[in-house]
Amino acid sequence: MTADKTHFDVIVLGTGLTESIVAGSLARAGKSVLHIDRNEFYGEHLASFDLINLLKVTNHGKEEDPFLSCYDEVELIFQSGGEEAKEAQMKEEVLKTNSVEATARDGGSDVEAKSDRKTELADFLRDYPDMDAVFKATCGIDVEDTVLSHLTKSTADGESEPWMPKSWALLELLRTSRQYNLELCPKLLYSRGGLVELLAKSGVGRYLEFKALDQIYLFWEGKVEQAPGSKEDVFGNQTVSLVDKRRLMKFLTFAMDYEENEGLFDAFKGKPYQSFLQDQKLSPRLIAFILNATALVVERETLVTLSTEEGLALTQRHLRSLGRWGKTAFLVALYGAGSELSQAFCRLCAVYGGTYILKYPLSHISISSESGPPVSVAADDGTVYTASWVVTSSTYAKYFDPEHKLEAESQTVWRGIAILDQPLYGQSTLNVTVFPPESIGNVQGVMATQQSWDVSSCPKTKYVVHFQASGPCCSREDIRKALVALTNDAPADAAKPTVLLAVLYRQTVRSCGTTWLNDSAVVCTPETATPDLEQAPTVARSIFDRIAPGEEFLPSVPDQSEDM
Amino acid sequence: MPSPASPPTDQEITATFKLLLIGDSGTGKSSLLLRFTDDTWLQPDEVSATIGVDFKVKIVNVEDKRYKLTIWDTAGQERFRTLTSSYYRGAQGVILVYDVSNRQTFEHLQLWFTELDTYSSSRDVIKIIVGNKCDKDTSGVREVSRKDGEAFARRMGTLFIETSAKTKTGVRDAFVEVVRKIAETPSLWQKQQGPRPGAVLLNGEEEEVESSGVCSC
Ligand SMILES: Cc1cc2nc3c(=O)[nH]c(=O)nc-3n(C[C@H](O)[C@H](O)[C@H](O)COP(=O)(O)OP(=O)(O)OC[C@H]3O[C@@H](n4cnc5c(N)ncnc54)[C@H](O)[C@@H]3O)c2cc1C
Ligand SMILES: Nc1nc2c(ncn2[C@@H]2O[C@H](COP(=O)(O)OP(=O)(O)O)[C@@H](O)[C@H]2O)c(=O)[nH]1
Ligand SMILES: [Mg+2]
Repeated sequence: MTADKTHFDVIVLGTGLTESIVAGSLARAGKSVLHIDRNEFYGEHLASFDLINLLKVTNHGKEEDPFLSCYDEVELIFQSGGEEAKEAQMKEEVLKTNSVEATARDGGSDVEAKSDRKTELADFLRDYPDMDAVFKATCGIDVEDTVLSHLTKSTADGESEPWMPKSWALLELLRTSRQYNLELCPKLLYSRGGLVELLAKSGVGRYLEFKALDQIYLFWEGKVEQAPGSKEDVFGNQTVSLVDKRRLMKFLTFAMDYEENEGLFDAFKGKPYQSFLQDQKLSPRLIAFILNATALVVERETLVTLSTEEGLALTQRHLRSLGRWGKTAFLVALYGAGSELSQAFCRLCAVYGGTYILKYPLSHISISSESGPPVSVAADDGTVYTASWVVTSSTYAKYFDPEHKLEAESQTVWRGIAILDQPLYGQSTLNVTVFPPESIGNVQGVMATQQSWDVSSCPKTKYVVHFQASGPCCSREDIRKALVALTNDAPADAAKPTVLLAVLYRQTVRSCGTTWLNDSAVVCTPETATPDLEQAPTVARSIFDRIAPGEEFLPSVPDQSEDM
Repeated sequence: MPSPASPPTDQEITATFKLLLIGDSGTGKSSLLLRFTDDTWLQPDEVSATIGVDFKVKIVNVEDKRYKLTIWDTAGQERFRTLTSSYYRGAQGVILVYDVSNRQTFEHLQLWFTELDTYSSSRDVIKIIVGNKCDKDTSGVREVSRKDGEAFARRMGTLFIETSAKTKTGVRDAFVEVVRKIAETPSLWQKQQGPRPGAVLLNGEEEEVESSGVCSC
């Protein structure tokens, strides 16, 4: 199935946010756009999945796939202590009762109940063959051997085998898969950031729905503390001395418009932000609050190297976003920020005539034609598309750069997604907990973002917490420690939430910044480690300006409800 | 059918419904939409006129009530099966279109049902199967009989109608039937009218300040 037209002004490869903004803005400006992705979903590394597909992507076993190979070292933690286990248990009871009745009636046996559940599991695995590996990793069963062959053997003993209750519980959980929207890379939006402004101004925001983040917590000296989000919060805090409160307010008021008081930080330009904060006589606790919970810097090395100007800019960005919606500086997007925003800009592109082909593998890309169109892209199905420009995500870099000449680093982020039976902090449904480096024996700082049904991340009775750690020497251990600090291992203890299922994985994305390979080809890199997406609109804008100089970037779309 | 040509303007809107058009490329979805909302018919060389059409808004009167419809077109994203999941979200009615002169587009309806099932948020969203281009009957190129269409719709438990965006036959009825059925199913729209509580929308209007920031002193 091919597009009847094969020449375009621009070919865009990869549907990450930056590429999608570029595609949408160029189509909006009248350029013809062909937008391709090798995956069958939008968003690349920012995509969202239901539970089954998340497990599929993280447990892929396909080392040669340029996208999937960015996900490895997966570990599954499954505890069958939650509701699913109870439900599964109840079903078991019902089945038993039924089969007892059946026994009384026609001489059947309890074995039938067991084999019913096995049939159910076997049917499920037939529909979702990729889940074999998941059952193997979590319940310790070899599906071929245990489930399928047992079925044909029709086990004589009615004994419950050890893997059974666990498997039934996992099956119950997976049956609700579609109620989950789990992000590979969860993101927050600054309420007054460039992205929110762009969404509002361009009209693309009308495809989206957001909720305000309720609260940011900081893990400090063995306790979780609420980070203040307003003046009232600062002054209402009983555990901070009045002197400290005054110093903090003075600093925050300065940081809000720091450019106007250059004299105050001139001597610290190019020097560490940390030393500047110390010079303001702020206590270590307040410094941690500013660095970790306001500038949202959690990488050990960055905390040390972050310059005063950089730090002030990050602090200012946060402060300026306060007080617009809710109690924090952030918005959370329903169904997953990266995925939804990418799709919204792609929709804009399509509305303005762009052509979309997903699940479309490529075999060759040429960007140095002597004659004819500068760019040609050959698909696996043999079709060759040509264009004047190509804009591509770093996942396609190998086609341009077989010898790895492009300066490229790997951007590694350790992640964990945990499904919980209770919220972390009572009422709050959407929140962030920051663990500074070494606060819980972790090397790198960890950010934990709780989401809920309020943003359609999970069913109403569950909560999802995303963990992330980046920077040199970050590891699975950092994630695990944060997970343990927030939850408990003993399902009997009801004080803390229980982890029903957790997926820990490593995301390694090739990072080549934004690089123009020549006048007609540019590679861009997704923002995986940052908590926000502020870079995408800026990078997209710079690419747009070079391809469509002088054109307006994403002008407001006409209001269609007016031409009634 | 209670359908005055131009609805009275003084009456209040009872509800707003989101409707979607899906079906294979070339079956006439955009043509049906333009015919219904603007009563226009584009010549094949004018199709570029649909560029920039995201959705159309139309107010209809059904059973003496006024309903505001936002009807979403595929923007060509159906061609390579690349519709976004957000396209399907929150719709109360879906119009599945095939071309009566192209058997394959009828057979693909099964795939569209699967797709709908995957993405649609509500199980009891109202569906209608529309056999478009029935004007082609006279030229003897029909590949799907009305009987086949009706039988399939019955099997899928949906409404059915044949239309022609070219001659206007059935076009208004197709939309009105869906609205009537949605209106009869209050569970579909009464509780989920509009965004959920506490939702933040970026539709250019705003701005709502709920609390003061640290430095708004
Ligand atoms: C909602 C929906 C989902 C579909 N999903 C698939 C699918 O996953 N796999 C499938 O084979 N067919 C799928 N189809 C059917 C496929 O789109 C039709 O075969 C195609 O429309 C036939 O058009 P054509 O005769 O013009 O052939 P072309 O469009 O020229 O097709 C050429 C070849 O590409 C194959 N093809 C087309 N679309 C896809 C696709 N999305 N994925 C993989 N191969 C494709 C066709 O089967 C055919 O062999 C889907 C159709 C619909 C409506
Ligand atoms: N004869 C006839 N042609 C139609 C009818 N509806 C649409 N068409 C033609 O079918 C082609 C595809 O229509 P379009 O609305 O673009 O289909 P879409 O891809 O489903 O949006 C166009 O050439 C239309 O002119 C109809 O009712 N009768
Ligand atoms: Mg169309």
